Amino acid sequence: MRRFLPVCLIFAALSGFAQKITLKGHVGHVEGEALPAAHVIVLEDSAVHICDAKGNFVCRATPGKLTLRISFTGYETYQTTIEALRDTALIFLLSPKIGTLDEVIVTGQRFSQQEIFESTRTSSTVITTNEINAIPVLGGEADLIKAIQLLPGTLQGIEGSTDLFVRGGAADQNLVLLDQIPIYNTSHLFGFLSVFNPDMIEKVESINGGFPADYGGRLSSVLDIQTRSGIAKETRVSGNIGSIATRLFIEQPLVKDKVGFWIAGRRTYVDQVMKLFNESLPYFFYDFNGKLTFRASARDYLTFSYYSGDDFLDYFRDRNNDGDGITTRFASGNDSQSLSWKRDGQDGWTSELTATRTSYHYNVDNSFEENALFARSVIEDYGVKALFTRDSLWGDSRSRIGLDWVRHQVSPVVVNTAGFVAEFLESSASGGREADQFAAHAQHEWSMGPRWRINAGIRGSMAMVSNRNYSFAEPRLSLRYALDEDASLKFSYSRMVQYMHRVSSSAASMPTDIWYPVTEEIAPQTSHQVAAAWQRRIPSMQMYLSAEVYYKQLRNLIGYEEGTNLFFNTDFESRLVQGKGNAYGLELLLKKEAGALTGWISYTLSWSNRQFDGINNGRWFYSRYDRRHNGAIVAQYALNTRWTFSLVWEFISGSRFTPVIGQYAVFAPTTTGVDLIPVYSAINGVRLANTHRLDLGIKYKSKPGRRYQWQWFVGIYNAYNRANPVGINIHEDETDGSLRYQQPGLFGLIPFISYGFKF
Amino acid sequence: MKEYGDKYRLLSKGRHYLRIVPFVLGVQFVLHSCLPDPLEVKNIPAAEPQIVVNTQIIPDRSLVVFLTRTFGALEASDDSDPFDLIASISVNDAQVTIEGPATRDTLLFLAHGIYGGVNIPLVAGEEYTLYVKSHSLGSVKATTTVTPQVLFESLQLERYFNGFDDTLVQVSYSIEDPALKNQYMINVQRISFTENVEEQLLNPRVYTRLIDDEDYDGTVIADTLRATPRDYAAGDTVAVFLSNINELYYDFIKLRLDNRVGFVEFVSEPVNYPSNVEGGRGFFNLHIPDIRFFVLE
Repeated sequence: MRRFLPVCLIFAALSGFAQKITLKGHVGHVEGEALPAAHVIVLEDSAVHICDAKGNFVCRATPGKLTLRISFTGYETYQTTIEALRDTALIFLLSPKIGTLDEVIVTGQRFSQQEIFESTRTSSTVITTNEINAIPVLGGEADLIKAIQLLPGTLQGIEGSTDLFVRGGAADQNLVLLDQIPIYNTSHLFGFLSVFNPDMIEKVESINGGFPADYGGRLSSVLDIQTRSGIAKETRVSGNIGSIATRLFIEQPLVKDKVGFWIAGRRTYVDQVMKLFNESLPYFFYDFNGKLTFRASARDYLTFSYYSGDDFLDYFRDRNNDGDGITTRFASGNDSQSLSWKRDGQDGWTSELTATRTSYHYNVDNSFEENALFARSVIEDYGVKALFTRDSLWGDSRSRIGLDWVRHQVSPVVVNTAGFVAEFLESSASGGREADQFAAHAQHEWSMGPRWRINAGIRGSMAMVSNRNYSFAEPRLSLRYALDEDASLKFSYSRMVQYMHRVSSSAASMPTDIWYPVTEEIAPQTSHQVAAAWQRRIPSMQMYLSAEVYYKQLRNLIGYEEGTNLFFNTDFESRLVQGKGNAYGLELLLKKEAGALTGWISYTLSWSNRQFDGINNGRWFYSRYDRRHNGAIVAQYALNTRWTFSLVWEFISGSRFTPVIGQYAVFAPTTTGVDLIPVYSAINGVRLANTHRLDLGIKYKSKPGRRYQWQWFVGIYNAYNRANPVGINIHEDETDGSLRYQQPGLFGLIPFISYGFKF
Repeated sequence: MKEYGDKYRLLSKGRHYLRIVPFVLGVQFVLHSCLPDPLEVKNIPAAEPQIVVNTQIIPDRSLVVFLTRTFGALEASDDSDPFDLIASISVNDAQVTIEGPATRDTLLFLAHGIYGGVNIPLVAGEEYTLYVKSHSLGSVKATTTVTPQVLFESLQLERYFNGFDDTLVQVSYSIEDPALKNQYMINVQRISFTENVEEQLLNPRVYTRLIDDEDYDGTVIADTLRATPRDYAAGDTVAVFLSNINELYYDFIKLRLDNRVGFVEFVSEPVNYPSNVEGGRGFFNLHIPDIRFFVLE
């Protein structure tokens, strides 16, 4: 028996007659909450229109009698006939179906490029949880960062690592936000797995350019990860047992439609299994995520998000069974919280107030007999953000203004050494640092006629360090010109400023790297970036195409004098140099989201250059990850409702390396012999062999419609076992002692298997 | 009985499945160990051939210059025969002259890249320029100042047992530090004239400690160090060197010490070592070490 459906229709004439008329409107819950990605179908035109994240839609239709069908999973479908001769605004409020498993989270999984296509934004991609879970990866552990690395413009560093090098930027130039909390260290397992449990993700947006004014603080990209939102209707449990780790996700309502929470945990388990066989594997990591949502009223939402994750290595080896032995302990991890209050004002303004805290720490305890190495470092941020958004009723303009404040606190980095270790690494300590960072931003987006849409914004940012203040204006502009309903041209310009930097090798980050704010001597890094794009969608096939070119100019980049050893080095500032760089390229993306075959093909052609006065004799050189061609084929084929095959083939031009090309002999300091000194090539003067790799996966699921759902996912990483080089070394042949260069890889063929379930 | 039998069969199955677990893990570890073969390298540029200069004053008025050339990374390693290596890289066709404030001397070619000169006045504080002209490798020149010799004011050595497995040598020293800025280098080396002589010629194991007098107040520098790595035994001959070195050479040695250990091979930053040889490599040094020999008890 169908329930009575309250429907509110508002008719307004917006413009005169045209060959086509514009229907604009909003689809929401009967109590007011927007229903993003709801479908609005105009039956006469056989056209399907999908609402944006705010539940708004805009479509063109033939004037006259129109039959509209509005649907959203878990809600009663509504159909109505209207007589529309002019541009018309409509609002639909739907009621939930009773007794239906309301896949609220499906909304998260239905996010797609639709929103990006209709916005003015360039250089942005949305990744869904389905896509993340479908990709066969190293160890079979679904990984958000690994999925992002397959998109155009984004490179991985060393094979298997979670470093991101975006449009010629460095790995510390990416702002990674988890429910608006900056995450400093995004990796487990010494860089080979990200800290993001895929079960808790609702939406991921990767922004590589055309940054809206509410984002700032890093030069190259923003990875905005939003965890599951909303209040569950009933208890849901899901989990996964994989080759590396085990995950569990529980979602539970506490007060119907008022209060609910979810928790997600992940831990490696091999160490526990080894204990059963009286063996020891002294390493494990864990993540814990949680979110509590309280709907205080129809207009007020409060959420509290929590994340904690650590890596532990605890190794003791007693060589002589005398109680004295080698002790190695290492612990590193993130710990972050956010409290957010969202309010839908009656005057059309939506406000969001968020308080955040994030920290990253590492501890190293190594000792052997009289030798020891102890190191500690902690960085902690506190922040508050206020954001106010106002959309016009017809969805043709939007304003956003906001204020941000962050206090960065870096504790003194302490390195204590003793014994033999002290000969190589002196004890040292850096002073603690504090910096306050402020930003105020405003942007307005509006349409100029039926084809033009403009987003203009400005972000003013400032950093206050002990005896110096830095302030910058960061203008932002993005334009969209609609060629027709399904194609558009876009342009964007962004100026970005970065006040924090990570002290790390240009090749790869380590869990012992430390973040530092700018100082009186170290100026903020800045960039200018322009991008132009052509985008097209094919709605019938849910395909999306994009071709984009960009140019980025970087200033005050962080580098280190040649020979600087950054390993536990607290005196890096005296060796720090600042320089400049540029990057430019072409990015192509073809994405298909519906049908049996889904996935994407991406290709990037790019250049990335650097210049520092204290490096390479001041000459320009290619950056370490100047990788000319970067392409990926990511495909998933659903044979039927139970069997799915997935494939990733990735090709990347070799990264740059500085090998030893010669040697010379100098007197040893005692002149009793000679030392051999290496001669290196020009900085990053040699290109490694190209990287390419095929990963395959097969998924077998339980029959649909059952309460308890399961799936097996098996596959192979690096199916044809190719070495993907990390560098060049010199190898001595054991038989004849001859020397030759070689390029070793890190990972060969690695199978994986995992079992997932949900109920 | 049937019920008990079923339970027993279930237990057996459970144990059977448990045995699969280490098998699966084992297979995974085995496959993990199937590392692919490294790839060949084809596009490495050749190092430009350059003259390498090494010098040493022999007290009081003699100078030895050792000339070699740069060579390929694949031509030699730490395990190469040092005599063969020196023979292959020595520069034997050069004219070597040294010019001081009042003199200009041409050194004689002796053997295997070694050029020597006697009765060359090398005055502390004075600047000298070395000119090298090789028919095959071109010309280089280098300029430096003779640093005054500084002697140990006191020096004691003894064996130090660290309470575990190692016996190190403990060196207690003091140096009278002259005025002005100075940098010192202390080296400790176990010397053997009969055992492993060849091993000591190529990359000899020398313990080095650098001292910058800015880190010390007053006119006397005194400290104790334990030389590593080496297990010292009674009867070992140990040489201790003290050299007053110039700033560029100090930087060079410091770079060498900082980069002794490559913690992670492929992420370490490359180093172009400094040199005061224009157009070449190596060092033109004019310092006279204070060398003391000890036999450990």
